[in-house]
Amino acid sequence: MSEQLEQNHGKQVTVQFIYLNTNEETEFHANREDTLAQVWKQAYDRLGEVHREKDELECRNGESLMSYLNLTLVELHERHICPERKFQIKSETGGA
Amino acid sequence: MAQIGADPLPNTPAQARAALDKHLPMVLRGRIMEEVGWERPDLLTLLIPVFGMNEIGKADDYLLRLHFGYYPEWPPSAQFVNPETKRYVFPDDMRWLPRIEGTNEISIHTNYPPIGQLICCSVTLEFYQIKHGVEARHLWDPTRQNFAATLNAIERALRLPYYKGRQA
Repeated sequence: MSEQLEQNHGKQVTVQFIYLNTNEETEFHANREDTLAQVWKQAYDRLGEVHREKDELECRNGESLMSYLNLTLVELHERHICPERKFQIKSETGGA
Repeated sequence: MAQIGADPLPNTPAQARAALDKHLPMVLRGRIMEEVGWERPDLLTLLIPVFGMNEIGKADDYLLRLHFGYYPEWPPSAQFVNPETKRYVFPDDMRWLPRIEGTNEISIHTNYPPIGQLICCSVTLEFYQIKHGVEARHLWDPTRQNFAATLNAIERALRLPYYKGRQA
């Protein structure tokens, strides 16, 4: 592995997403300095989906991450927010 | 394709079965049916154990029956059933229904004339059969949804702060 590749590898972490409309999953390497919003966008691209109105990003345990979209993956880790980086995308339903 | 105000039409059993067969592995995400306690008593029906977690951390067990007769153009029929009889008879089986409050994404009715039990949510067939008002963004879309959407919406409602225990 070249020095450049090794440096890049050290800057990246693995993230996992589930799209709850289908349970389709994607896993990829993201830059640690990317914001959660940027990584979320990458997940849509990999899933072949588009961000729809009222979609929400959550940790796999159901905790909403919508307040943290501007944090980088490093900052999330430092704050112990969704530390395993396993995320899920939820769409709104209607029915009440 | 689901449309606002349209009457849901059943699919052919062969096409509905093919769609269920195709989507089942994706929804299970690598698990096998026996491992997670799911049953498929006939080609178009799934019985799925789910649980509601109450405020003291105690789990209440429920059994969800999904039927795929109109699938995938329309969402599956969804009903909570008595785990012994695999049916729901009002009012005898009310205790096998969860009480959900505090969300406008789903509502559960123990006896909604004329259909009986109603899991009122835009990812269940019954929601469209009763002609519930629906916003375009909530309309079932088989190009971007499968029955994972139904199951995940119901399981979400069984968590705090929405889950309030059994109906009776």
